[in-house]
Amino acid sequence: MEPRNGPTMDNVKKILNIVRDGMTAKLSNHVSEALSDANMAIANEPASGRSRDLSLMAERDAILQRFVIGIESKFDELTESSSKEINVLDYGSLSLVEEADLEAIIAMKV
Amino acid sequence: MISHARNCDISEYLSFTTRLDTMLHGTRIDESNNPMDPEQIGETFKEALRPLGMTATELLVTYRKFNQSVFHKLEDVLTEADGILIDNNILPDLDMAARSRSELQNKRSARPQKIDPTDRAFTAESSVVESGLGSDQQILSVMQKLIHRVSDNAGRQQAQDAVAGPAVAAVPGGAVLQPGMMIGNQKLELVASDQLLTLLNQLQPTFDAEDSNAEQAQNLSESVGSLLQEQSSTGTLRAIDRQSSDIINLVTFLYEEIWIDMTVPIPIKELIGRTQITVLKIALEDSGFFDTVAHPARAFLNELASAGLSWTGSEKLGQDPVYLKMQELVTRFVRDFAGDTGLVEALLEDLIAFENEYADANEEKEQKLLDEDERKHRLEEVEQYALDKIEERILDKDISPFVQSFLKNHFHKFVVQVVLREGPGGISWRPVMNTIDVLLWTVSTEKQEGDLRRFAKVNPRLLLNLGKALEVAGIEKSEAEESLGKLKSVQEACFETPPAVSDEDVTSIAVGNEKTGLVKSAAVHQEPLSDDEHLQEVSNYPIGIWLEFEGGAEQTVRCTLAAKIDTIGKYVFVNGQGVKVIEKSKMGLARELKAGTVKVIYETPLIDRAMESVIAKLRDAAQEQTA
Repeated sequence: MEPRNGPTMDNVKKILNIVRDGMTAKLSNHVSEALSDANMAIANEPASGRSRDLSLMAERDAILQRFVIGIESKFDELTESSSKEINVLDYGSLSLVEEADLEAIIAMKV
Repeated sequence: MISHARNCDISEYLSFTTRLDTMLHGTRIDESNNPMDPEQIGETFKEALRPLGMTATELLVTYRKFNQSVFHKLEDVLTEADGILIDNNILPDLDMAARSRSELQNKRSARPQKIDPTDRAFTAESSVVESGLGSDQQILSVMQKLIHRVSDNAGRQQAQDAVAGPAVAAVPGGAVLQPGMMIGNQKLELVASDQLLTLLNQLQPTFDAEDSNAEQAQNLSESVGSLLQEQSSTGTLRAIDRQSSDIINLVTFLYEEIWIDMTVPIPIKELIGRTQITVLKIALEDSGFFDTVAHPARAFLNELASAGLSWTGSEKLGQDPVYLKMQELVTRFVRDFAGDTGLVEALLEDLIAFENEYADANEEKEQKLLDEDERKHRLEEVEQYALDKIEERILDKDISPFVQSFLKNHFHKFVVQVVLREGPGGISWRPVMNTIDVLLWTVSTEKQEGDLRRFAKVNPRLLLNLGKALEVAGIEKSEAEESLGKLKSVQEACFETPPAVSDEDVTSIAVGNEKTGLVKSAAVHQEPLSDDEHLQEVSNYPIGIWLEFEGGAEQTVRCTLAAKIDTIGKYVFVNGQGVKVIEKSKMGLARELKAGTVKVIYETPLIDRAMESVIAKLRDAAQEQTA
């Protein structure tokens, strides 16, 4: 299924990848800033409300990596689901269950 | 936080979503799969933090910083994302500003929330107030200046009549009051702060009395004024200082605005009305009540209003645990407050914790079924759950008995299989529920123009899918074929008979869990919409928006948009517990919007709304006098 009056699926993927990369980079910068601010604010909280060993700065790279992977996967899901639409039992925008899922259910039938 | 972020950048958000949706033909883009939706971004961040096992305090602090650093800057990010799509020729001429204008008119949440309330109240109106008022001006000070301006222009009594009713103190406005000064034949005696609090305590019982038939809020300033007059004698005039008088007036105005706010259900108004004296005590002691959005007393009142968003007054609130809890907390607020805002914070935490627990308890059944092993051992519960969900979809009790039986027996077996495999709310859940809605639509007796064409397009697929569903459900092939054949006959019969409704839009409405069958909504003639303004607005309603529908017999229903089924032009609404209560055609909804029988329920915090209205009214009164 090709996009109506627009780019081909390959081009859609390319465009989405540009958006994905640009947005994850931009959001990462903002998240990094949030983590720095939060780290400082947490340090100023009473000891009773915080974990002894938490350092958001030390964890920052790992958090950012998980965040970027998470956002990227959401973009990737868009093109994956578009590809899968080809085999979907749908009527317009509505589908009961994707054929693959339905077949899987049938296979699992008790 | 998420709604705010989504609505603040509504224009950029809609532009990006529209372009993405256009580019990805065949994949519907909405809040659930838009990678740039604030909920998706927020959830991803939450998941990224999860391995750290942070405490509640740490998470709260971090989320606040995330809100500041990410959501507050989302507009720029979305603009850049939009730019990339435009550069790649995806709807380069899309004018979202024009598309969202009608939305801005109807969505309070799309008001310019990023602007300081002072700026909002005085934009292009700088002549109203004295020069020098900047965005850092304290709200209380701004409101006082407006009150004084009105007083100076027209005399205190007259001015206050113009904006909110009788004055509080039986003393002339404008004059600097000094204890001992003579006003006529009476010697002025200023009421000290502690005496004022005692006086307010005397008034509390009258504000505790609930009166659902009252046409307006109890007037606090009048009550205080009357009490002062009672305590005055022929020789002495008891009065209060101007600062306190201003605050009493402002709190009075605030509660009047809450009372006339159509989106606040009556039961909530009654509860909040009881808090007037206590809130006044807080405001007298702490001007932060007016100046600080996050003031605990404001947050408490806002939470009360928010918790009752879905109520209309027709529910049996005496049995509603959340309402009973709110009553208890308001009583404690009124009875126990003695100057310590720590109590208010504790009450607020108590309310939020209770709401969370209540929501968790409601979800307990679904939670149990989330575990695959649990599901296998709870077959009866799975079967009942599936049946409940199917019955929730059937709002029209008059639909063919055969179809009801088909859904509750054959299709039920399929739904059970889906739940056993995926649990409640799995990947197939929404399409399965949508399929029930489409099936019900095909056998509904109300038809609209173009439905036959839609039916011809949809039904072959629907029957094909139903056939597969019956196969999954383990129904014998011959039996399945016979059932589908009968179903097809029923469907075709529904399209052969003339439309059951010719001049009114009929809506399926159920209140709470009681299915009331078809309820005629307020008569809305099916005139073709001469313009597409309302249709456009309805098209732009986001999933999650709250609406209030006028039903028959003064019945109103508050519900939130849960699904839009474009293929058949249906909008599905659920109540606060997630139970389907209304389904509407897109055109029908647009007609109701035009007729004014449906309105958007705004989710901006109640006190912020009331405060804005008070400032606007004071400003208008000052303007009228200047003109």
